[in-house]
Amino acid sequence: MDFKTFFIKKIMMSFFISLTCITGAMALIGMLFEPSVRFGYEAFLSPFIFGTLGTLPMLVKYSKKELTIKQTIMRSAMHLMLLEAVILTSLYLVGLLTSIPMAISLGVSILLIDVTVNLVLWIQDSRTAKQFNEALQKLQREYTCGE
Amino acid sequence: MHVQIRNIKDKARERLIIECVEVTSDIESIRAYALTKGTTLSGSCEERIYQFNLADVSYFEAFGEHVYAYTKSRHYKLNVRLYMLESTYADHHFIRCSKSFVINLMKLESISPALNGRFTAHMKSGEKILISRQYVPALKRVVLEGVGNGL
Repeated sequence: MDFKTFFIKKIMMSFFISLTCITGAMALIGMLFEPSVRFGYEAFLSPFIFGTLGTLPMLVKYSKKELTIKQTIMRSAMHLMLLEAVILTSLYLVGLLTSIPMAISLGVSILLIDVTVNLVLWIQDSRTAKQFNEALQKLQREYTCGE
Repeated sequence: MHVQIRNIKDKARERLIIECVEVTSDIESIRAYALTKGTTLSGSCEERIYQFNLADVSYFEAFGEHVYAYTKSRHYKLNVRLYMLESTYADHHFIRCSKSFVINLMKLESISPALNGRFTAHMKSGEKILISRQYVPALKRVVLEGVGNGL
C-alpha cells in the first residue's frame, strides 16, 4: 500500500471516527456530570486536537512492503505504547491527570480496549477461516469427484 | 468402454463426464489425463528445461525479475509474468493471494487468521503463504460463493 492510500484509508478514516466519538463523548459526559458548564468557541478545537493526537501513532503501522506476522506484532506493540504515551502526556499537560494511580488505571484501560478490539477481530477472522475451510474442502471434493 | 462425443457451442461448458460402476485406477488415469491435458508448463531448474503439469503446481511466486512455479519436489523458473499466469489459469483454480503469490486452491490445505485482517494459507506441501488483506475478499468470493475465477 502506498503512503497516499494508507493516509486516506487508514489515517483519515481513523481521524474522523475519533473526531465523532470524542465529540459525542464530550457532549454526553458533559450533559451528565457538568450540565451547567459553558464553553467558548475554542472548545470546538479539542476534538480536532485529541483526534489528531490519537491518530498520529498509527503512522508507525505504515509499510510499503507486506509486513510479516512478527513485524506486525512489533508495530502493533509500538502503536499501543505510543498511543498510551500520547494520551497520558496530553492529559497530564492539560491538568486532567493528577495522580499516579489514575495514570496507571487509564493506561491499563487503554491496554484492555486495545486487546479487546484485537481479540474481537481475531474471533471474526477465525469464523471466516472456518467457513472458508469448509467451503474449500467442498470445492476440492467436487473437483476430485468431477461433479 | 463406450465413448461418446457431443458437440456443444459454449467453450466454457466443455466437460468430460465419465460414467462408471467403480472408480478404478484406469478411470483415475483418464481423469488425471483429462485434467492436465493442454495445461503443461515448461520451466528451468538447475540449468535444465522441464515440462510439468499445471495441476502439480502448488503456487507461483514472483521474486525479483523472475516467476517461479513450486511443485512438491521442485521449483521451476518461468519466463512469464505473474499477472499473466493469474489471468490464464484463473479457471484452473489459481488465484492471487498477495502481490507476489498466486496459489492453487486445489493444493491449499486451509487458512488461518494472521493479524490485521490477513490470513495465512497453509499449503498441502507444508508451506505457509501470507494472504494480503486486499486479496481476501476475492478469495472469499471464489471459495465461499463460487463466483469469479471461472469456477
